Amino acid sequence: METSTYKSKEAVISLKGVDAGYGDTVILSNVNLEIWRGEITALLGGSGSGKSTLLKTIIGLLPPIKGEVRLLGEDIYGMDDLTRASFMKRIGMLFQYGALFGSQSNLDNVALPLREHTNLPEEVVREMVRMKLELVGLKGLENRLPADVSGGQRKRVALARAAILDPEIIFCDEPSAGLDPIVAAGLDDVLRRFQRLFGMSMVIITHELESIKILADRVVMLADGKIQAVGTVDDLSQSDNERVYDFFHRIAPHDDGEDGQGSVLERVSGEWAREQ
Amino acid sequence: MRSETKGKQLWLYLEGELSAQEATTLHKELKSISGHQEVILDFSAVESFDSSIIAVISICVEELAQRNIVLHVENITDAQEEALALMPAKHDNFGLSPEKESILFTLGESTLKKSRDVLLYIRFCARIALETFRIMFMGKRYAKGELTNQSVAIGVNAFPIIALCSVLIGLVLGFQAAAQMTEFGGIEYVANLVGVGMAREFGPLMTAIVLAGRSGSAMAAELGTMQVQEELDALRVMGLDPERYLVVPRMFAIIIMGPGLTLLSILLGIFGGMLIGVFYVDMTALFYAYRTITAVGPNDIWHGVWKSFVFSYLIGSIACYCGMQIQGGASGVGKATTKAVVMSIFMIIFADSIATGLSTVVGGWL
Repeated sequence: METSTYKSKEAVISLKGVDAGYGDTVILSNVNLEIWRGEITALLGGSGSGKSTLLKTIIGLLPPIKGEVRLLGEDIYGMDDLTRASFMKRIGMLFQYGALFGSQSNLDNVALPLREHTNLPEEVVREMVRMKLELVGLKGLENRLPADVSGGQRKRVALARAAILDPEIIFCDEPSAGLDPIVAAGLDDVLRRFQRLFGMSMVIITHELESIKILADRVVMLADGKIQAVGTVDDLSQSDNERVYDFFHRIAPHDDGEDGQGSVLERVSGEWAREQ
Repeated sequence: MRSETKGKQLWLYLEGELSAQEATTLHKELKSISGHQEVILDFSAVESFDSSIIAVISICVEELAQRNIVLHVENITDAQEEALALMPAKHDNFGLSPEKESILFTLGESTLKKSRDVLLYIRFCARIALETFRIMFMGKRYAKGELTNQSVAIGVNAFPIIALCSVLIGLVLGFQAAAQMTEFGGIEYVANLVGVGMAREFGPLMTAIVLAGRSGSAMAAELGTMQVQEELDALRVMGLDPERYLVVPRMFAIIIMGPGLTLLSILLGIFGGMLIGVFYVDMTALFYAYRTITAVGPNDIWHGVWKSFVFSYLIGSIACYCGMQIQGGASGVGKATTKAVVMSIFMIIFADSIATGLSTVVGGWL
């Protein structure tokens, strides 16, 4: 078992001058980022800030328009199909809604990567699935279909599946979205345990401040298609950057009516007409 | 992996980075052990291991214990010990599927389920009737523009494929009739056979089967997806019955479009037969038309049309019922769609046999 203490910092992900987007639309411009091994890094930003685009670019689903992406030191976009397929065993991904296969039981869902990628005897496969399911706090649900368990449980099954091959890095897309605070805290705890137990690096997309405070070793804040700040939670909560400050102190963008519309009241009170 | 026997002890020296491949070997090795009282796994040369190794240890420690062999680990680092400590130990009832029921039980259960299904379907049809009444006489609303949209989707868009199939069926009927009738010297009866066959049977059946495969499946899939995405619940919460709001306009659309398409299908089928009559057995088009008109009476057309009403009703109601009864996500949508198509085609043929029997026995306008 690899331990989680690393003397020298080694980048598991590095992006240099990356522009990313869809077609001609550039969503992220000039992103430079390094994510260290063994750390939990939170990718933070409001809706539409480019979090998902960045994640897709990193895990090899969306080739960058410009720049260099390295995942675990490898150029994922330069690989041929077969190399890439076996490379993908080294990473795990927890999708936002679990992305479990609805026609298979939870056990088969979690066992799928093992059965496809290794020649382990079925007995060992089942034992590994059992251990991983119990680690995420699930007992007795292995024969149910994903549709028959709750949203929080489904996410845990998905996490067990993401971790079944002991990947070096796990990506989590909004792990606590749609879960109640207690279940979300439980999932945060499981993520922490996984990271400690397997020395996994984790990249977590979230906008739950509570989760970030508990989980993140480092936070990357995205806004307007740019990285606004990188640092610990404490660093960022004291940041001078307006976007970062607003986010951490839960300040809604103030609408001062500069677009000239005003409210209905203003329109009918007569002042608006006089000002025009 | 090196092994060494010391008295009743067996030492297995593990080394390097251990993963799935080594786990498989270790599993085989530990299973085949006999004649020792104690097995010791030495971890001093192990750089790292993954959870497959822990799984193998977890299984084998139990199994060996049953054979009175003790398994333990030596020379393990603190970090490695912590990993073993965090992994929950084996217990027996993991992954045990519930006991198989007897055949009688399964048979009884599936019969009950089927009959419940039939009752629910009847209730659903009654509900549609009620909601139709509410729309027609109590001024309740259905989704705006839905009737037109659905009529276009169900009827207009299905026309090309129905037209093509009808012409081809007409051609086939014409060929078969020509081959048989030449033997009796009654070649002009090709027109009678094609005309009556298309009007009474092939027109309505062809149309219904294409509609079931094309439009019924689409309806079931659409409503099913809406059910999965909680859109139907959203309608209910807003005080709009999905039965009234979505199902009734679809039923209207298919009941209007079905007979209309059937009439067109009959015409095109007769045209297909006429092609055979003119180009294969040397009748004039006019003579063929005359023979058709004398052979096909209004009763035959009416028979086709009223059957088509029934078929359309069956397709629409079965498709909507299957769509709304859906359970369990994306795979449920697939199952419901299949069920809708299979059930409606079966019901169409079943209803057709009853209708034809009724018409033959009772006669008249049936």
